[in-house]
Amino acid sequence: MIEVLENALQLAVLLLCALYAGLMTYKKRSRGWLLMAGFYLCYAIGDAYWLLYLSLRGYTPQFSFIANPSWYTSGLFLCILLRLSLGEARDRSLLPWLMPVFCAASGLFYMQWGKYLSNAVAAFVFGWLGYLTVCCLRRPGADRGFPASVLAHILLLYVVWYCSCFWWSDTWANPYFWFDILHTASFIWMLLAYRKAAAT
Amino acid sequence: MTYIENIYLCIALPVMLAVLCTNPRARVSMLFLLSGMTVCLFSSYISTFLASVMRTDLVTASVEITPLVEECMKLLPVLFSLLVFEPRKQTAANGILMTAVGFATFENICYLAANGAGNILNVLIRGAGAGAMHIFCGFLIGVGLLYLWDVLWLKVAGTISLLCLVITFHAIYNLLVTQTGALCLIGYVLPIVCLIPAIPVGWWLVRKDPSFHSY
Repeated sequence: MIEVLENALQLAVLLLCALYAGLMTYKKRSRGWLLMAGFYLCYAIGDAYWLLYLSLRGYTPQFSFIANPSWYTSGLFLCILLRLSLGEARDRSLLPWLMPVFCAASGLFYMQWGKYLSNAVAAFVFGWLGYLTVCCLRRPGADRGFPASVLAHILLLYVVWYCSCFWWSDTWANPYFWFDILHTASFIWMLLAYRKAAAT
Repeated sequence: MTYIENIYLCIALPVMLAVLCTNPRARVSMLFLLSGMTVCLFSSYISTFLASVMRTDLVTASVEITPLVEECMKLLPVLFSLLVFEPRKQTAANGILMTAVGFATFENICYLAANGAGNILNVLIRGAGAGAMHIFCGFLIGVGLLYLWDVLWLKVAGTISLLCLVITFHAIYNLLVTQTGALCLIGYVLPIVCLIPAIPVGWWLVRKDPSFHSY
């Protein structure tokens, strides 16, 4: 029951953020806002299926063929947005590569429960997103709020996935739910941070 | 046992003959209709294979495997034509819808062969619901692809996200129709409810975009 409520909250937040981003796209005719709307909508689609499945069948989907591609595709929209904001700038240090290494190692860890292709794709998408995020954070003179919020989104997502590997119970004592609520808050932070970055 | 290959041959052969006899514009539509039926046949093989490899029951397979397989397969003829032939927008739009129509038609024919056509209400609900679902997914893909295809930076992410959207819509439809009672009815009605506003939107987009009117 707690999982259903918590997923419903996340879906509601995502839909509201998608609506706001869509309105800003229409108002400003902005490519960035279109990408943000695409990100929120894609994530919301995956959440909608997950929530409906959980509500109707009482357990989470057995396979990752429906919801997971939507979640990974949402990462692609953020990758395009960050890549466009980076422009011609290149970061030649090794620090940004920490994120792909972390994501790859995490992917290998998750593979002990199977789902090899899904975990490999997740490691690739979020590794690339993490790399671009750290590059944006290290850019001198650029806005750091939005990349910081994206980094928080990625790290919280991985914490949630780690917690789901050691599922305790369907009670509030399970840290999975707390970190997922924080993850939901990161969607709002991303929207506010992007609004500030787009205004400057 | 439903001999779907025999049904396919029986339905597809007249269409193949029609392809040889009709004018070029109608020929393209017929080819997309035929490709829709063909991918429906192959989708059933792939879905069954994956369901047996993963050892799932019929309901789980219909909710978690079949939507992915069917929507990916429906996209293939369209992608092929866009990448190889670079057709005009009107042709591509018709092609996407005809593929969806061919898919839905063959699927319904196989359903009738397996379950009979005695119960008219059941047949109407099934025909309208499943048909509208495939048409609506085809419509979403069509509109999205035709407007995203020209935007280079959005081509890949946009196509994949459209695919995710229709896969999830299809999965939600299958999830609802496998329930009983009101939820099942909502599942069958949902695509029709979504398609009703989509038709005027489609017409508006066609009238608004000048490139639709060039042949």
